[in-house]
Amino acid sequence: MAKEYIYAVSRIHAKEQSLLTMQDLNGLIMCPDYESCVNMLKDKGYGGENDGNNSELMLRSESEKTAELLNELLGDEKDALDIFKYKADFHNLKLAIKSAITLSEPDEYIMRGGKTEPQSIIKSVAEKKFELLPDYLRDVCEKAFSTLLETGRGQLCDIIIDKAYLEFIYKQGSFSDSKAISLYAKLTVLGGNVKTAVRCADFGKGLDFIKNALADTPVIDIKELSKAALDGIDAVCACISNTEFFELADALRVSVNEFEKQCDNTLMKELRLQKNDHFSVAPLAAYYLAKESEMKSVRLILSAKLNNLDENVIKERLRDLYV
Amino acid sequence: MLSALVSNSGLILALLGAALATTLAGIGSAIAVGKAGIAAAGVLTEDPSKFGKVLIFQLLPATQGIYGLLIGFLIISNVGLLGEAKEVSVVQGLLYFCAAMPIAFGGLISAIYQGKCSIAGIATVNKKPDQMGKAILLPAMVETYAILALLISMLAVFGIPNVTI
Repeated sequence: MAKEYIYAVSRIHAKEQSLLTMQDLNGLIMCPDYESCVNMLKDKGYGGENDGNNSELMLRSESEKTAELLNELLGDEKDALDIFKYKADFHNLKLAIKSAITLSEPDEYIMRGGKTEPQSIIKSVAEKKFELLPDYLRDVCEKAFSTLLETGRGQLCDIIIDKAYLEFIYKQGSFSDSKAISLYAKLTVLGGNVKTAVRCADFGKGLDFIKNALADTPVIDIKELSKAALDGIDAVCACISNTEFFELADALRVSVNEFEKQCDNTLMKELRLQKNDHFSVAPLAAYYLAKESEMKSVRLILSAKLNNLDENVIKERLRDLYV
Repeated sequence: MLSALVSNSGLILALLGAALATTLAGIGSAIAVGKAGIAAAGVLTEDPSKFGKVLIFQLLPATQGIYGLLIGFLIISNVGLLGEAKEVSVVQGLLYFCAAMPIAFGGLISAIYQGKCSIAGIATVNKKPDQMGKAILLPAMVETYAILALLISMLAVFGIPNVTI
């Protein structure tokens, strides 16, 4: 019998009411400056007590609060939402490899909330004790490390790690019983592959390079995608049209940013359907992703305010919200 | 021993019916009230002011257990276990057993599903406290089937003493 998460789901549904609404985001956009935005967020209970007016600290506190809440609710089933933690681990691996080779300090860019402690990844890589890394990071670390050492090209190292991340995420998603988690995995792979293919083509990379950079999963045919990337955006759109996410093809015609936004919106649409599920882990996954999406929007608004960007530019990039 | 069992088989069958009515309907209610209670606790952790509202939802699936108890009580009363001893034939015992089945199984299953519906109702009230009336009506609809089962069990239990065998 599948495990039921009645208490956790009920509590998370109560928590959903504190998520920011589209009206709240519009209120933030209308704020005259960065400070008033921060104050409005504080009034909504955003961040921690000692964050001051530092938006990054606020967002970090918010992220930690979410992770803490989900850990508490999942109890012995903490692994159920691990799929969302691997992004931070693979990101920290990139930092660890680069800092080990360039002998720099990666602290500023460390992503928290991963499955493995960032310092443990950094230490293992710095001491070249790759065997101390978790299974999912070990092989890719060795490959990326030696590539960076031999070629000195950080981009190659990033591509190796991104590819390994996408393939790993797809595998994890396919093991999950939750439709939301499996969709998250597929959309992450699709978004990652399309972005890599388009960017590689923009930088004038060849067919073999593009094909090697893409994660080989059933989500999208990478042979077709790499050829399409060289033929231009219309060909890539046609390639997406052959996948189960064909409705996202038009978004790519607008821009890669719009495509990413529509990937997020597609996921959010599915998550809203999970609201009526009162027993499975799906609403918890939905809450986590909703919170991530909310923080992405808040970060966008705050940086736009800092850089005096136009309201319309912000609105164009805002994702749909869960609530 | 065997002859005692055979001579009291009517009473044994009737008692088995009473036991199943009380136990199965009680199990259903216990599962449902337990799960609805867990959901209610989730809401109360975030908003203790909703205690009164969620408590009603938790109690909704408790009735099946009471219906089972009622039928069980009527059966043991009719067969003379609570007062003056009565002669219960095998056929009568079997009739009591059959009379207990509607509330035993109807109670068990309707309680479990009413519990699920109550959990959904708790979620509704959690988000929209002003929709309490509508939210409570939905799990209450499941109660219909427990009442129908109770009605048939009750009519049958009342009718059995009048049956000429």
